[in-house]
Amino acid sequence: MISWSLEWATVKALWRRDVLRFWRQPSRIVGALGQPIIFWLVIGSGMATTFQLKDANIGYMEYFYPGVVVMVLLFSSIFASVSVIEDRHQGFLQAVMAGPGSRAAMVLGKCLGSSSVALIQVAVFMVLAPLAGFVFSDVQWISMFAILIFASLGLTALGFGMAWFFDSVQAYHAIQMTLLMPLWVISGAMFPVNDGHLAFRLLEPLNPLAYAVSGTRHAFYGGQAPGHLTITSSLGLEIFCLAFVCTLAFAAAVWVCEKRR
Amino acid sequence: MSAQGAVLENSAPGAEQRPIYFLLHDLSLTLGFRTVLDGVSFDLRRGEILGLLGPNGSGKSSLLRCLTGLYKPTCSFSVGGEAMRPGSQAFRRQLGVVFQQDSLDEKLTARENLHLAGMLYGLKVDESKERIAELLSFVELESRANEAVKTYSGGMRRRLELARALIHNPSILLLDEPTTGLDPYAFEKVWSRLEALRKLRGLTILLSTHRSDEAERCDRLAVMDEGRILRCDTPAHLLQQVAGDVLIVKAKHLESVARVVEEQFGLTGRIEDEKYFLEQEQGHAFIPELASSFETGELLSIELRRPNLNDVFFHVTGHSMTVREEEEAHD
Repeated sequence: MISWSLEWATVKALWRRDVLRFWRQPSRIVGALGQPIIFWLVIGSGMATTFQLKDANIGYMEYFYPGVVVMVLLFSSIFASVSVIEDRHQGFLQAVMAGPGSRAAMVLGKCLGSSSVALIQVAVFMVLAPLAGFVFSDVQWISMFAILIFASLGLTALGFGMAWFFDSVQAYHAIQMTLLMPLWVISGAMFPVNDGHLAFRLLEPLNPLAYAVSGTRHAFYGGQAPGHLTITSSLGLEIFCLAFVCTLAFAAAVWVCEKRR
Repeated sequence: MSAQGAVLENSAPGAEQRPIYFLLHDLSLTLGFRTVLDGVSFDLRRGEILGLLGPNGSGKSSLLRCLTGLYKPTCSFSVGGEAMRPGSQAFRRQLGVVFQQDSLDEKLTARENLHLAGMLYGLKVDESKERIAELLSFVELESRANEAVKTYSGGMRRRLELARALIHNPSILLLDEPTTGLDPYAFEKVWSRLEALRKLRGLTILLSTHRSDEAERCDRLAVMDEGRILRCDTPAHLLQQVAGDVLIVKAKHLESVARVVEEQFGLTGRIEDEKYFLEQEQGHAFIPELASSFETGELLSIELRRPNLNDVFFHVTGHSMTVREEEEAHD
């Protein structure tokens, strides 16, 4: 007979731990803000003079901003999940596995913890949105939150599964960066995909990060967001697709975790 | 000696009167193509300290990992007469576990670590606070409770691990080499806490060790080698199996000492830690004979002592615990 209260207790303990650790390391908070700002300013101002969007009159700094928001999520999720490797063999997770909760509770707790950290970092970066030209009162916050939470849960679950499977920090970083960085670049974060190479356009509907970037744009602008997905302009569909990918990634992470002890 | 035989041989004085906590029968574990545990059977009685004695690689840690659910072995297992899977949630709830490696979060304070552990077992906030205060005082870490664990010494970490494992009032404590790397003072501190727990709360303790001094403090010992339990008995009974005394010879050429002893006296000893060990009854009477078999200066010293559990291990398995560890390191 499974005790659900103990399952939930495991989720809560891991969740709380990740958030507690984040506040304990001021360098991570500074890094969370510093790195994306530099990225946004350097690439943004570098591209500003040559960039022109076909059907909307917006500058590159504004176009690039939602892309950087997703990048913050992406990097934060990748870095938060790497701790799974050392925690598994010596450390906290060993004690969690010997505790009363199941593997699914452990994965969920860790993903919620890492996602919370990622969302805190995004929230800090979002303070700069007016500088990019966005007005806070125009933003659809509930949709924004839904997009970001599903995207970060999906990414952290993917990270958890990868970390558990590869079991080596080097392999984990190599695979995650090789897989996710190009997916981010062709997600519409840096340039509109419908102007790009045919291969990019074909990949777009299969790229979860494209849904995250497009969803973020929709939440910032409302219905007709410049540079949104080619195949749909429905925010609801984007949220649904992200939730679906998130569920798949979570199921895969639990499966890997049960299979590879 | 079969593993089942090892169970029957259980003859600890007083142990029979203690009710059985769990019965483990014919546990086997294969990882990849390697058989890690092979037909392990033993019983654990309430309130006893049972030690798994063996070198690294003998399967002690794997056995403990099976009980915590980290590995899935084949076996039959019952707790208080009720059949269950080792590592099932119902069993894990009863367990407190101290791993060989630290499972504390170094960046957090002792109090935060204990609080998280309490959360894992679903303790309510008030209950948790009370337990934490009680345990910090029990492991004598109150004064450092609000400092990050990374500032702690090895002994303090071990004590905090112990407190973490006790947070939910477990009925059984599993300890995987709990005192590895500790100096004698820290070792004594950990053991004084363990003995206090047993005395105060009647806690059942199952631990793995390769330290002879630690093994001597257990009520019963299961001698493990190559994934099997070869003997299970009280330390006193096990020590009785080693005849007489142990002679420890230091010499320039230990191999030639071993050869001469074998040729002249027909005795086989072992070389360990750059010393030659020999079991011999009436050891004091044998020393002059032994010494006179060598040229002056060949032997550096001869020491005589009562057997310890390292000698028992050699007696039972035919090899020493340290040699096995070195082999392990070369693998």
